Amino acid sequence: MLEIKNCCKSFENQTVLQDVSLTIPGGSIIGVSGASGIGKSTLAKILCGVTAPDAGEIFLDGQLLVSEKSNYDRRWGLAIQMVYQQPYATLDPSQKIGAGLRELISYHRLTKNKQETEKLIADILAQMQLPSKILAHLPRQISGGEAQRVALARCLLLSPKLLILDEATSMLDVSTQANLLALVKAQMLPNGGSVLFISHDRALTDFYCDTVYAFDEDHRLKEVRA
Amino acid sequence: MRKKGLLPLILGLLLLLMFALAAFAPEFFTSYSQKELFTKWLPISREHLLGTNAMGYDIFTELVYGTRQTLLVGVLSSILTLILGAGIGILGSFRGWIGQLFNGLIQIFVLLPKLITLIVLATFFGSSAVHLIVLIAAFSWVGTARAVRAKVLQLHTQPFIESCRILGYSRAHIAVRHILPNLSDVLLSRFLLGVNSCIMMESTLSFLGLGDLYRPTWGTMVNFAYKRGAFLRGAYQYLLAPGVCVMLLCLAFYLISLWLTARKETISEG
Amino acid sequence: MAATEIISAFSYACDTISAKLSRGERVLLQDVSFSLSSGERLAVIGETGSGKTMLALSILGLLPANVRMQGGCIQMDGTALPTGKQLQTLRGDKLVYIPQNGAEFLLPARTVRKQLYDSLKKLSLPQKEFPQLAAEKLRLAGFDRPEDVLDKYSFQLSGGMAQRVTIALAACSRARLLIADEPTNGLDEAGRAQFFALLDSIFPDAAKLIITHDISVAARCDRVLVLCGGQMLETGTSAAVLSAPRHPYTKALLAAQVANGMQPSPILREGVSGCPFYARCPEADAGCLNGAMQKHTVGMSEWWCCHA
Repeated sequence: MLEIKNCCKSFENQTVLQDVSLTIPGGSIIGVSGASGIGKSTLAKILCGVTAPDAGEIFLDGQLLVSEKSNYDRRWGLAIQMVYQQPYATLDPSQKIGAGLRELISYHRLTKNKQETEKLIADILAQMQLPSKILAHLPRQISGGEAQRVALARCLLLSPKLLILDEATSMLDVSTQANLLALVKAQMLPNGGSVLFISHDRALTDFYCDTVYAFDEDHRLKEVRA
Repeated sequence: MRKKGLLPLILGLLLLLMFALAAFAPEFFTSYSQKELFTKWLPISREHLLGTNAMGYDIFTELVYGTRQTLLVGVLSSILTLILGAGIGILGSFRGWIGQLFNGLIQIFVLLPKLITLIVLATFFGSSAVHLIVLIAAFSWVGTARAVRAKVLQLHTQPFIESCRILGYSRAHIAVRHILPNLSDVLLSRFLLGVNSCIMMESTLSFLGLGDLYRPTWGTMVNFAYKRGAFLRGAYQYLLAPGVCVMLLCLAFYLISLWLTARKETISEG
Repeated sequence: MAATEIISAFSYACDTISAKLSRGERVLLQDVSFSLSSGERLAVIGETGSGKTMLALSILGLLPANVRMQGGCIQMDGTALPTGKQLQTLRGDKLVYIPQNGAEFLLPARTVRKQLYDSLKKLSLPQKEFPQLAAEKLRLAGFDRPEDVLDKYSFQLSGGMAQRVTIALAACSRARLLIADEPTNGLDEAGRAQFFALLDSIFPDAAKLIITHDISVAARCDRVLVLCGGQMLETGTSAAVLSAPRHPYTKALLAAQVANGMQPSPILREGVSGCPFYARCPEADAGCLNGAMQKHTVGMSEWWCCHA
């Protein structure tokens, strides 16, 4: 489903990714582990189109997504979404939760009229186990776990083929983490989607993921457990 | 805690209300008309609260009618300043040559001696109110532009802008729906203080005789008083009254901006 | 709790701690009480929002402006804790706090040396002994070469080093009660073991209150207090509570650990009841909606539940 071929990236003469190759099949959870700052987040940013690779190519469902010569295809790349580590970081601090969801739905024309929009929002809130009164709140008025679920809801509305979790649960307590990861699994896998789970917690990645890769000191990716 | 914070707002709004009333309904304060002739240089009395001037017009009436003109020039030039400043500030935050061009423009204008350039240009371009508004705005936008540019650059470093790109929003959409609303607190506080600075600039220019002489503002009144010998006649009220009014109007806007900044500092839901 | 002859080093009882919001009041903590003897370690476990931080702040006298404690009694060595200025002198001396993120806790504009001296001043020791004492405290906190750290600023230290500096600062005290707020976040197994070893060696006589959401940390403590939604749900020795939990909430917390299979505890029903866990409790029944929380005791464990 997603193929990364020989990706390289360096910042100011510091190599961050060296010849990274990875295949993510549909319906699987792939873990990427490694120490902080080793390059895990950079890989995620390249997949989302935030940074461009210095070398290498990435294919999504056989079509070229980005390479050193061609720019990131934003429309094709909409099928890749990411949940960040900081729960509040991805929410506009001056925008109410409901307004943010409606903006996404209307921008991508996911529904035909207002009734369908409200029903879609009610459905996604129910799936994320969020109360409907959260729609009128600002990000600073909701808890960290709720904020992460809102971020997840926004990603899921776009029906992504790949969901990247970049240390998405390291700021949450154990029960919230368990709930969030169970939600992700239940939402992504049945539709053939996949999850790229980035974490420095080896016990967590070993338990949650089907295959685990790790970065070594040379910033190369190696499979450590299948 | 709440009550203490409201005091500046109430005071400021009351003052502003008084001046707004004078601007929109001057008949409320004075029954004379602006051009009604009386004896020249009458002293302060009950019929003429501030006496009459060199032409025989009632000074208090001139003051009340001058409110409209002062407020008009001050507020309109402040709005224009805001639009110019926000626009150039945002353009100055772009990457590439556009950003460098407009940032360079900001840096040049920072170094310009505003008042002197304004005086020269006002003399050159003539003295109608419209010219004044445009000129004042043309030199006041710099502070707003720098504040806006700094805030936009800071917003760009925050992950939520990055995640907007990942969600597929175009840059234009992000600018309008996510950057502009987060600029509102910067813009509002700059606007309120900007009114003060625009009123002061207008008063200075009018005092120097560069204002609209047919529709006198408070600054123009001080110019008249000075030029036509209020000092010699001992009619100090002619000089002081417009100055006090400028001070009170600026105080009104300042108090409102005080309340606004105090409000931002309190934490809400805890 | 059965009465003992020993006067507890620290005892806490609170009726209600509530916050005054723009619309109404929100109860943050209710009917929580416990006591600790010298050297005993109590882990306060709960999710974010369970009231653990408010508990710590109420002891330190640092509740936010709109939060008040109504009723209850906090005692140290048999006498009630003072308030205001007197409590301020106790902070840093008898009452010591180790924060979650050491790097943010340290003053950014003062060197480690200056901050240690600030803390040592509280002990009324002669000033000429400060340099030696400061180095000694840093050595106690696990620094082999104190000279390397003394003249650094907080932003020059790594996260782990900053945390150890805050421990060194806390060591400049005659602590009777130590409160540690999520102290092992981000540390691996070895780091956690080292942290607790340090704690025991530096503060052998202090009663220790460890706030955490990590069960492995709770397992290293003597006793455990489980908080949910501001209420005590279960308490007892850590061996008893963690190996054989009685309350459904404790069971759900343990099941959510990675080692136990990361079982989720989703919301199962609508409705609000006196029990904060009602919406997610797999064992709740109709009686839970209006039943009061009843206390059950078995051996050294106690728990509060609406259904038996």
